[in-house]
This record gives sequence, structure tokens and C-alpha cells, in this order.
Amino acid sequence: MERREFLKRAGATGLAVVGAALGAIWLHDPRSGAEYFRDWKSKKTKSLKSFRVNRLKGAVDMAVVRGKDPEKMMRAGLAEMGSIGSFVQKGDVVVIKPNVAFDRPPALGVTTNPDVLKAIARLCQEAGARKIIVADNPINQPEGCFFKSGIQQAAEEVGAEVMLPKPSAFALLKIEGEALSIWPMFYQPFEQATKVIGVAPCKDHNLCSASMTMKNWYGLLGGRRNQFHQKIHDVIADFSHMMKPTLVVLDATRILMQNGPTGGRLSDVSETNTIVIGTDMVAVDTFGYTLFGRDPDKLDYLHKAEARGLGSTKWKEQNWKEVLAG
Amino acid sequence: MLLLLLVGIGIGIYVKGQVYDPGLFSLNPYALSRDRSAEAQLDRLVSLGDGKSKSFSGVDMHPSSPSGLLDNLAPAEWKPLGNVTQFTADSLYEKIDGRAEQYIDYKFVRLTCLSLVNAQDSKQFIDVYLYDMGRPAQAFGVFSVERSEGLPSVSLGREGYRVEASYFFWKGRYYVQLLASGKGAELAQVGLNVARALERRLKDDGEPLWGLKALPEKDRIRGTVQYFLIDAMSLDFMKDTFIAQYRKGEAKVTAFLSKQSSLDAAVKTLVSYEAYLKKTGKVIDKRETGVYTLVTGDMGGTFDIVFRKGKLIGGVTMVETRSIGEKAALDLLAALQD
Repeated sequence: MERREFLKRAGATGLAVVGAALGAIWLHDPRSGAEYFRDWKSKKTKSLKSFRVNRLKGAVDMAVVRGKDPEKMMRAGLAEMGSIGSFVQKGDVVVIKPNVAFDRPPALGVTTNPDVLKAIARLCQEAGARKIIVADNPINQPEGCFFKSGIQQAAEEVGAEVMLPKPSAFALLKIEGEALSIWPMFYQPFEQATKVIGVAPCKDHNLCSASMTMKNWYGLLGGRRNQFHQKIHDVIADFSHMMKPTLVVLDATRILMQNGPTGGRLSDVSETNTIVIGTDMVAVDTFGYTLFGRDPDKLDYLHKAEARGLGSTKWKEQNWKEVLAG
Repeated sequence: MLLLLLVGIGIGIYVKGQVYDPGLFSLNPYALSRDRSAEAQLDRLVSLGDGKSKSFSGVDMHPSSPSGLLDNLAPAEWKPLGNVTQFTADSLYEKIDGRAEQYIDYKFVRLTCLSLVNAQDSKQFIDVYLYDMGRPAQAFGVFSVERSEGLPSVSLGREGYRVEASYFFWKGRYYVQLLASGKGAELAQVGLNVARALERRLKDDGEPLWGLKALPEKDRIRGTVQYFLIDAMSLDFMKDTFIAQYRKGEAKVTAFLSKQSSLDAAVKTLVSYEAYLKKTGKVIDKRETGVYTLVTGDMGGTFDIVFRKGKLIGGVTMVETRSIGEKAALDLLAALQD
């Protein structure tokens, strides 16, 4: 090789090495791989706004309604709380989140009573809601669950839109809870929502003792959500941080007293003819737990949520009313 | 270039793993349908049973499940609503999330499901759940812990009961639930016909479970025997345990019997039980004969009396009157001696 050729090649190699080094320095990110991907995920995440409404001072926060006609019960309960108009206004898009987790008929108390759902939807319409969306991400095949639970038909009867969990309807949600940080959620219904109402059945649960209004939001999670079972009380407490609904309704018209959450026997269902309406999920669930004849002091997720300032277990100290309806 | 391609594939796999999108490469015919009414939904669900479509959870086994146990189960004027689906321990949560753990604790093997719908009335349906629990004791175990006292028994399998138009029974290694959409004699009869048809297909060697043989029948309250593979009475050292309720005069007594794998294991279990009694109450009596060891614990208002005889651990728990408890425990012991 000639000297000139050698110098040219050595120069080119040197330039390549220096260029690569400068490029590496320019591309270098001091974050670890885990941090990098966490930040990358964080950029893609969505957040949920609060759907709460301002309440007048002294307004009733929780109504416990006894009766047999869900529509009369909802009307009577909301009348005590200042009418549906104090929660839903003209032009609102209301997302109603029932529990349609399993493909069970309504009488088994595993899913939200369709009559309760209809009653709420009708009241929202009367208040001027522009659109009502009924949405859940069932554990079983969605169409089967909505059909067998009677929720599909109930929604149709009141002209509400049923939104099923298509894959494209999910987004990463920034929850920033103690157990849930970022997780895929059935997000599409909430993109256009101005108000959110959770309507949960009151039922026994094999893992967390009882599934009520806080646990109801579990149904919005995507992914392999069974992996949270080991820390289910932390996850449920996180829901009161994740979701700030306009209202929650605990449908205790019938209660699945044992063998929950799937049930299967009418003999496990108790007709309790009660609906609890409230703005504080922790308070509603604390009261709801007493309907099982169980001690709320022993239900971990209530106290975890309360300790984080996300609600109060002291429902008796709140402004609440018991109402008898038809 | 190849390296870049590999990196790209790696990133793709990572991103796919992070985002819930089970249907990314699958076609959801419902999503394409313009008519989403309940009736259209029913039509679509029924059409799943024609083998042309795929459901979204579990593993579709249409046109027939591997064992064929649920094939052609629909009675006259009824038809399948969707395909037969199957779930293993890894996927059981997709069907019964929140309850799957209980079945897995009993060493669940496979769930096979089928829905049947009345062709004339789409609001009438029957869901068939066939749980393969691996062994008869495990099938009896889940059957027994889900059963409530006082339900009308039905002659189905080894043991069965009915709640309105729904049926529950176990036979061999199988636990079966037939869940009806409502009540009524007509639906109950259809359910029974389906249950009988399925029952005939389930194999069973008929070998009695040791605990059902060993627990004395005298004074035993019907339909109260339960079997726990683990954690009987919420005690983590109590495994392979049968529990039954007995009527002793006015009192109701819960008796238990557990078979340990060896004499050593039985001795250790009794030691654990005694330690538990000391921790949560106090041991007030201990008798040792050449044949058995019997320990009485005062739990502060109730009494536990536990014995070991060979590889068997037995006794009574949470009895309000000591004398009644001790007599019941000795009765159980005597029955074993017999």
C-alpha cells in the first residue's frame, strides 16, 4: 500500500470513529432502559378528568332508598339529593357504567339490574342529556354478557348507546395509584363524556369479600387484570383515586350473598329492595357492606381509600337520608 | 440490515406486549355489523354455533369438544348459542374471574362450556359448565363448598341438587353446573333432561370417597359434608379434610376428619393444631391412650376437640358446650374404631 493511500484510509477510519463517538454522545440517554420505556409509555398515556359536580352546601350526599320499583326508587332518592338536574344538565354526554362482567341472567344478582339501569338512563334523559353511553368491559364474551344480563335490551329500550370494548377503544391510562400506575383502560367512552355514573350490583366476592361501587371500575381495565388479585384491596382503593364519578348507584335490589362474584344459584340471592345513591364511593360501599351483615371495619379497601383521603367510611356523619319509595 | 430488522421485531413484540389488543389480527364480525340490537346480537351469537365464526374468549372447540361430552346436547326446539369453549387453569379467569382461584386450589384441569337457547324464546337459555377436576375427591370438593344447606336433592351423578330450574351435580372427576335463565316447571324439565343426557356421558368408576365412608351417618345433617383439599377451617395445616354437620340433641356440631400421608405427618398436624389452640385460646385437657391422643381447647366461649388416631386427625370445632363437643368427638373416634 502506498503511503498516501494509507493516510487516506487511516484518516477516513479516524473520522468514522470520531463521528460514531460524537453520534453516540449525542444519542446517549442517561436514563436506564426501564426509565426510558416508562417515560415513553407515560407520553402515550391518557388521563381521566374529574366528573364530579359542585354541590350546594348542606345537600344530601347519600340516599338509601327502600322499595320495589327501581324507577320510583331512583326518583325518590335523587329528589332527596336535589334532583337529577343537580347532577346532569342539558347537553351532557353521560356514561353509565354497569357491571356486566359475566354472562348471567339478571335474577342471579351477578350483574346490574337492567331496571335500575333503565331508571337512571330515563332520569338523565329527562334532565336533558344529549347522549347516554352504556359501557363495560366484561370478563366473558362481551356480546353474550350484554345479551344475557339484559343490559343490551334495557339500553335499547331507553335509547342509550351500548359501547362494547373493541381493541381500539383501549388506551393507556395514567392512574398513579399505589398499585396501579399506568394500565390499559377501556377509555373510548370517556373521551366524549361530560358526566359519569357508576351503577354496581351489590355482591359477594371470593377475593375481596364484596364487590360494590368502587370495585365496579375494575371492569374498565384491560390486559391480564387477574394479575392484580394478590393486591386486590390496593387496586380497588386506587379506583377511588382513578375515577371521580358524578354519581354512584349501589344496586342492592337483590344481593348475591355468597358464591360471588359469579354466583349461579337463586338460593344465594337475597331480595333486599334497596338502592343507595351517593357521591362518595367509600361511604356508599361502607353502608353497602352492612347489607351483607358484615362488619365494614374488616373490609380493607375501604380503609385504604379512606386513609388516602379518597372518601369516608363514616357515612353516618355525612348528610344522608333514608327514603321509602314505591 | 438484518440486525435492524431484528431490533424492529424486538420493539414490535415489546409494544404488542404492553398494549391490550387481543383482536389486533382478528376479525370481529359484530364490530362490522350495522345492526347492534339485542335481536341481532342473539342471531350473531347463535350463528357462532354454525362453525363459521369465532368467539372472543376461551378456546373454541366447535364443531365438537375434544371429548365430545357437550356435542348435540341441545334438546328439541333448543339450539347452541355460540360454540363450545374450553378454559384451562391459565385461562379460567377469562370465564370466572374472581372465582377461578377456588377451582385452581382444587387442582382444576379444564372447564368446557356451552350455552343452549330456546329457539322459540330467546330469553330462555341454559348454560352448561362442565368442570374436569382431575379426581373425584376434587370434583366433590368444589361441589360441596358451593352448596348451601337445605337445597332439594336430585338424583343426578353421585350427588346433585336443584335450585329452581338450575342443576348442580358431580360424577367421577366432573362437577357440572346447568344454569337456567329463569324459573318455571317447563324450564326446569328441559334443564333436567339436559342434565340427564350429560350425566350419561360422564364416566365414573364408582369408588367411594374415603371421607364419605368414614364419617358416620348417624345424626349427620343431610347435604352438609364438605371436602377441603387445603386450608380446611381456614387452617393452613389442615389438608385433605372432610367436614360435616351433626345434630346432637339441640346442638349443631361441626365434625372434621383428615387423612394424612404418613404417621409422621399426622403427628405434626396434631402438634400444629395444638399450637393453634394455644395461640388463639388455651389447651384445657390432653389425653393420651395407646390408641389415640385427644386434645381439648377452650377458644373463649367455644371448644375445639381434636384427636389423632393413626394417620387420621379428627374432631369437632367451635362447639358451644364442652361436654357435647367431647362426646361428639369420642363418638366420631368410636365410629372410626368400628
